[in-house]
Amino acid sequence: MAEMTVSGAQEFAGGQTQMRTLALVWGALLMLLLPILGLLGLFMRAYQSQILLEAVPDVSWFYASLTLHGLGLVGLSYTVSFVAMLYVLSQHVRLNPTVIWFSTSLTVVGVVLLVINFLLRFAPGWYFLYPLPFISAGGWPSYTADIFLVAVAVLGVAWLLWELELLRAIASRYSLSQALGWHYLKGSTTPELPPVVLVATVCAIAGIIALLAAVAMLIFFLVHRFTGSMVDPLVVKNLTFFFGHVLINLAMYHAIAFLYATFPTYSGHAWKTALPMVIAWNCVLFLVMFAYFHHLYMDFAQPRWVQVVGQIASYGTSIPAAVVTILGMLAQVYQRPVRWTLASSLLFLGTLGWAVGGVGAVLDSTVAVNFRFHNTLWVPAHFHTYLLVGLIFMMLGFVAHLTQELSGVAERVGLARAIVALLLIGGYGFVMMFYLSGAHSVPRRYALYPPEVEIGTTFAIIALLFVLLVVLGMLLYLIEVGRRWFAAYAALRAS
Amino acid sequence: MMEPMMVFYVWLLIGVLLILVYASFALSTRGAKGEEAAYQAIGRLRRPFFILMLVVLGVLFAFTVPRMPYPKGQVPDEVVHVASKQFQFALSSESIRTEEEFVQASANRPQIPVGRLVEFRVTSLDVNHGFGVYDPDGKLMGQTQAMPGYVNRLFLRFEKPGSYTILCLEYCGLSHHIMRGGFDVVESPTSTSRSNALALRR
Repeated sequence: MAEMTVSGAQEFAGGQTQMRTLALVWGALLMLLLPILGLLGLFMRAYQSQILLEAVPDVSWFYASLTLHGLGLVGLSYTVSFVAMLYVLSQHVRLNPTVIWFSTSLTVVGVVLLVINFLLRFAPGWYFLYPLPFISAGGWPSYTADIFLVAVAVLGVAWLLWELELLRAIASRYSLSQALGWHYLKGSTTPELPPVVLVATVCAIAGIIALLAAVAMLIFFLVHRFTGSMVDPLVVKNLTFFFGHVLINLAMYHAIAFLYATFPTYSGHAWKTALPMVIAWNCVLFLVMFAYFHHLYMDFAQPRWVQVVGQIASYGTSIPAAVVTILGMLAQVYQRPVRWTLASSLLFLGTLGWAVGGVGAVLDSTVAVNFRFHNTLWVPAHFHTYLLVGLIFMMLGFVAHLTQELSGVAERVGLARAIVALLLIGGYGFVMMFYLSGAHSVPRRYALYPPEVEIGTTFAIIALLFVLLVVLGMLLYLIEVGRRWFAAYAALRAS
Repeated sequence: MMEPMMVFYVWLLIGVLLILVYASFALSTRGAKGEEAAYQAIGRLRRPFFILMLVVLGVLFAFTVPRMPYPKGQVPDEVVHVASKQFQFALSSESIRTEEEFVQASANRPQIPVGRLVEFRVTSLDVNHGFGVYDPDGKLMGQTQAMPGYVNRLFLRFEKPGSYTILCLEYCGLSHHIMRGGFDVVESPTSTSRSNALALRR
């Protein structure tokens, strides 16, 4: 930046202010939507506990909640983590705020359409497995499938646009080989590559490929919609899971990019790009394309070699995560005078959730294990571990960090500790009931449990108690961070 | 196959270990001076940790790949055709292609002789379903997806007589949780049930 002109510097500073505003807006969206979507989860566990049978006799509300809860939280995780990554990336490259704002607006349109569909009780599940959206056995109006396809198209355009803008911004400063750190493989460290740029490049490439797969998936849906003839469901299933799997993995990777850039401000030790990190993230870019096969292990019609590749790729993606990021996180704190705040605690503990959930995921990505665990509650067990007590912890850490940084408001230490304790105990207790249910063969996505697996009802009741702790922790979080958010907003306006 | 509770205990053991490691590292920050040597010490663990992970995952892979549930050219003792449709399963010794055949087959509760290797040929007549076989104790024995236009072949051997339940393991609509089917595993099937249901010997 040394050669930057005065007007260029002003433009850069203006862009950073825009990114701060954008980050604050998304922080507010997280604080608004996370509790709502979380309460849908609470509703579902209460329904499975059979305590709402009289109050809500219509089971369609359960499955509509299941759909919006899943779609909403995957989308929210992806978008907020993306903005968190952009927030730190904007210190290194110039992003065009107009594009990001436009994508944000389109995302809001897509979300509104999904909410309308929820009210119409559209309920094909979060991955809307073809051809279910069109064949509901009278479960939801047929036109809701059309609304849904429009929503997916709008969200797809929004996200493809900001992924392309991300790649453009990186390409304006780094060549592709530099941005992927290939010069480190040759022993050169010039130019020095900030980790956030490396991860953002990997994410942008994978994200664009995933969104193109979504376009192909959408075309298949449209062919069915306008011709009425069935297209190949196995092909659509592959496209759906490729898109969905990569998208949710990207959400975690965005959060890791934010972590690399932010945690050193608490530990006092830089988190720099080095050869192992470059190798790890280039491997991730390759492996994440094939790991999704584990979603189709129980489709015996898939070629056997594809299933073997799925197991290898799923195991493979865990190695860079553990050896580079988890170990790197531990190195950041080991015998260092870490400044423990709400933000740093949540970021640190978020990586623990990622690791613990990752173990559950690796076990389930073993075909012989998946034979007994596929679509049991083991699946939401592991993904709620790395999403709720992993990624969501990190996103709450992001907003806590952001609002603290922009407002300068002092943290209430006791309250921060109470928040962390409640979220931690409540979160792990909640997912433990999923794991136990999965180990007892309880199916996922059941509004009520049949006699063969009625133990699922007991686990749902116990889970509810832990969810209440999470709700309390979240309430306290909103009080503490909401206060900072308003101060940060006022400070930003004043500046 | 791997027993679900054993898998749970493996996860629990590693999970608790991870929590203890994180707790001890967090505690190490108390009164710490932040010397570079400590950071370097963790960095030196990277290579052995990498090798450890490769070995553990390699062993798990080598142990489990031969146990994949996919057809390996076995010759079944019995063949059962399974059709799935919102929100019911139908089982028959003959393939089920039409609505009429589905209604007829879904009225039967087949009997399967104990100890036989059974091949289930599973398909769907509408959306995706999951064909999950639960033993008399409510334990999931195995499963495969039921997909329109495809036939998935699942091999299971039933050593224990009793009433087996089929539950749907792929979300298929608002009555997904009540979609079910079943069959009985018996020492010696009655002649009626054999002629009505399975008994298609290979």
